[in-house]
Amino acid sequence: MEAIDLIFWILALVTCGSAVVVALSPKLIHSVFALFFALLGVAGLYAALGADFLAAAQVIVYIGGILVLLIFGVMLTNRIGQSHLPNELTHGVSGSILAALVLVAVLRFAGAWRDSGDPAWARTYRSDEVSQLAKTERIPAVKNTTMTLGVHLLTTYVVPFEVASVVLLVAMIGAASIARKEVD
Amino acid sequence: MQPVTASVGAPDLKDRLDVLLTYLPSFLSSHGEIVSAVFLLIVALAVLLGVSVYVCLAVWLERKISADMQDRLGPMRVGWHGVVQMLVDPVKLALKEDLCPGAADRPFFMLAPFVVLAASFATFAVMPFSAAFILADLDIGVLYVASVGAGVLVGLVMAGWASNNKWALFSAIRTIAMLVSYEIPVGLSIVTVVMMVGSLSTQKIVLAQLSDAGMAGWHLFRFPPVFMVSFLVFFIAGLAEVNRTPFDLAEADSELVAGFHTEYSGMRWSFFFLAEYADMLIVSMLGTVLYLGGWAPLTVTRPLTIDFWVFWGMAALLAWYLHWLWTRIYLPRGEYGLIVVQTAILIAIALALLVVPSLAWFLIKSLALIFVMMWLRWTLPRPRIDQLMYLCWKVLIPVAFVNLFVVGVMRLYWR
Amino acid sequence: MQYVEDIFRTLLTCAQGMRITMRHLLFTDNITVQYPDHKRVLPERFRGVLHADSTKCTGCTLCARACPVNCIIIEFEGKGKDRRVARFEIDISTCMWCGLCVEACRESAIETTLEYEISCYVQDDMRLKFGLGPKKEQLPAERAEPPAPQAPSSGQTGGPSTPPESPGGSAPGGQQP
Repeated sequence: MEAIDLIFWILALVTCGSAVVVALSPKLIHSVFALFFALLGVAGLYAALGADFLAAAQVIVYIGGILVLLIFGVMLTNRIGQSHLPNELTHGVSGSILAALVLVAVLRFAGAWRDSGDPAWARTYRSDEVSQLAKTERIPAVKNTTMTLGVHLLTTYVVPFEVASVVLLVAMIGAASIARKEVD
Repeated sequence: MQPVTASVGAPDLKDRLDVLLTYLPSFLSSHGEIVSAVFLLIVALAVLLGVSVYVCLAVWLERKISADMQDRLGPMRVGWHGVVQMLVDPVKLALKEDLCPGAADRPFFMLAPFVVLAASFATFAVMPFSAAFILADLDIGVLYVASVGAGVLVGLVMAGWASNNKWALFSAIRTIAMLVSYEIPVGLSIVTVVMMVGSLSTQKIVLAQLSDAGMAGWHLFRFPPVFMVSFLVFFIAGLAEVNRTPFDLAEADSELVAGFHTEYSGMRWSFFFLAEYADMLIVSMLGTVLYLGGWAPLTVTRPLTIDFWVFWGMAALLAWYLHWLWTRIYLPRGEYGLIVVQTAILIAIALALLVVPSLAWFLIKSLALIFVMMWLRWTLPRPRIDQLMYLCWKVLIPVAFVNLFVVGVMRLYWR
Repeated sequence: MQYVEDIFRTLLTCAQGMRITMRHLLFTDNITVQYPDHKRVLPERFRGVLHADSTKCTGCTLCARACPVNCIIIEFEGKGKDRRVARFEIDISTCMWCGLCVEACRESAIETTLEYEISCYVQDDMRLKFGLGPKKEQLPAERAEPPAPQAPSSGQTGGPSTPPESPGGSAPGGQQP
């Protein structure tokens, strides 16, 4: 077992454990704080896969932005401490079957059984293997993902990028105009 | 530990530490993964230890500086001029009882200080202490600093909520409102620098400022006054980010007892304290890296450069001040000890500049910024929360946006 | 433009404030002293603890009347020419150091001193006693009296049958039957 395996298992444990707390905790605020650790674990997994920019963006957007907004919402809610979330399991069997089906589908499309043996993304490579593979271009070199991402965002994918920013801007202006007090 | 190849071209860099740190990792990694991992761990622990020592020193210095600014004496009892205070304080905190209020949210109450501390200490991983002394030269260095800062925010809010105390809760709400707002000007002013360099890596940002001209290569003096304004915005917003006094509404002791750490005691309380001073250091170091050339040394030995005049001018000013202090204050009172200590500190700084120039320059620049933070703390009163928001949304952010635009135009046509 | 002007004024006033603090840091000497080791030289007319010279005191009670907080207690004994001050007490925990008593005194018998370290372990030490007279030892006896009746009274509340030597445990003992 290499060091990266150990790191992966720790991160996976943190992520899944926190996710279970998010789903099952009777207190809303506990769910929110557990979500923090789950998102952090996901960011760690990204980083372990070499997607460092994605990991940082994940932390900034999901923890620095969305999670904080969630906490803010919870805090501004009156008497949130007394409210009790009904966490009963409903549609247990059908839900489990659906979830299992989705998992199988995702794994299938991700190529889990496409070839014999593990798919490229599910294996951990030793450093000499990585350089070997990078030469034969079976896996892309993960060096400097930031630059690649930036170049792609502003050349190949510039239209979706701009559309997304316009959508966000519209949402922001809309929120501001809704929140604004009428001034005579 | 990744030796930076570009640093070989650095001008007359006879840094023993760098030489050691450049060759040691490759030497150690030839002995296997475990050895280099242990080495990395040791260096990381050394950085943690260094930061802890800095915190103790900074607390004592802050007490002395604030006392002197208010014409008081400050701590005098423990040791010579209260120096041992910096050892006694942590011991006292370690011995205090670790209380948890009965109505508190126990698991998160216990966890929060560790989240805050871990998040602020994690930032030091990307700080370039010298050409080779950087724990992880990430491609996304500056972004990493900004993202890990979110952990501090969540930790503070966790503490504020879990305390189950109205002051702590108010403080948590203020913390969120403040930190979310002030992250924008900080980010925008960081982006101006990143646009100039074309990289997020802290080490590359420092290397971009490394030149024979020394100080003239700093980003601070690029396109004056654009980057000076950018630095000002960064510094003011950074001050708010770390809850320092003109902007310490989250722990406003005259209104909220102590804010989010009202209910904490002992070691857990000291973790917040440690994190606060570590955050100060982070903002100072980031400011140094982004605008003040990081570990890039001043070219003090080459005559008739700007650096030469600035450095020796400041040295002359310091010498004049010390002379004034000794002849007017210390000698009439017979306080020879102070003279000896001040001389020893100067000699120590000079030695550090000779032996580990880049590390010493980095620390001197960062500590100078920390001094400015302390100076501001004991000068300015605390604004109201609406004034705070006005400052952020109506002053800093527009200014930062204008700056960003100007830098973009400059970058297109001039470089 | 007001907006730009405000920004510049903010920066300017911050710089002014910083200049002041820096001046105090660098060039102004400390005005506080390390207290028990060094003490400040007090001005001559410093109003410290009051002192009454009982050889000069005529017992006119002008000082007690002048006192706004009634911290001076003067009692007499004897009649006519034998009349003398039996008790002259100043409660300095009540005294507010106004010095009106000093101005009222015609004989300059009561004066302020330069003494200001008045902390003590027992509250009664705050009552400065200047009274002269043959029955001076009566004062401690008066003081000793009040605690004496307390001991039997606490025994009585515990119950008539319980012996007085069990002070604390008498209340739960009463609930047992």
